[in-house]
Amino acid sequence: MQLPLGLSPLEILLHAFNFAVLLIAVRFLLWKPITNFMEKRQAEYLEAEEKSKEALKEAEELKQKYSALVEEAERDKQAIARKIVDEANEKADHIIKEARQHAHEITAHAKKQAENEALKIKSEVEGQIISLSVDIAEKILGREVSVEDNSKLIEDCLKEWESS
Amino acid sequence: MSRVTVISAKRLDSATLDGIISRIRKKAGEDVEINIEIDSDLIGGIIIRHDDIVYDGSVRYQLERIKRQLKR
Repeated sequence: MQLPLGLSPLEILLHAFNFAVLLIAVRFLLWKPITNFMEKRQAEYLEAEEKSKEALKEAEELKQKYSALVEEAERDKQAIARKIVDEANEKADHIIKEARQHAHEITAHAKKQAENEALKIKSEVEGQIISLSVDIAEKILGREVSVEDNSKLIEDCLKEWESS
Repeated sequence: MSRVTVISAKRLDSATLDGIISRIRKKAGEDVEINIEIDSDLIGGIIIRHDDIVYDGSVRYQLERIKRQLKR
């Protein structure tokens, strides 16, 4: 009896037997190493995945840590900037206060000097007026002291001397 | 012996001069030495200098006194 593909039943059985033998051989010879290899690869992948997760976690933690550090640095920066601005404002206020005080002193000194100068000038003018008035009086009296007035002055002086 | 100097602003007539000398001798004694001088800067009146004491009755002195008082 001839089957399709030109195979006899005996050949089919033989092939089936060969295939079974091959399966058994492969089962015993290759199955174990392949499964071991696959398990090992799976374990490696799992380990790599675990490491990757840990690394990711560490990276996340580092990121949070750095973010916190950046925020802290930003706060420090703002605090330092505020401190610098406050100190600068304080210094500016101090400088302005000193400048005002100095200006006030200069003004007061100038005012005092002006007052002294005015008093000095006033005193000089008064002195000049007095001297001038007395000079005029001298000239008038020099012309107008009469003999009678002169006699009276002589008499007064003599009396004062005699009564001493 | 004392000394009296009289400085007058104007030249004095003899009657006035005699009267002054008489009064000086009466006050200072007969042996007093009397000097008479003229200084027109006095304007009027006389100055009597008896030894170291001076009696200034001149117009100039009065004016100087007024000037000092005004300047105070």
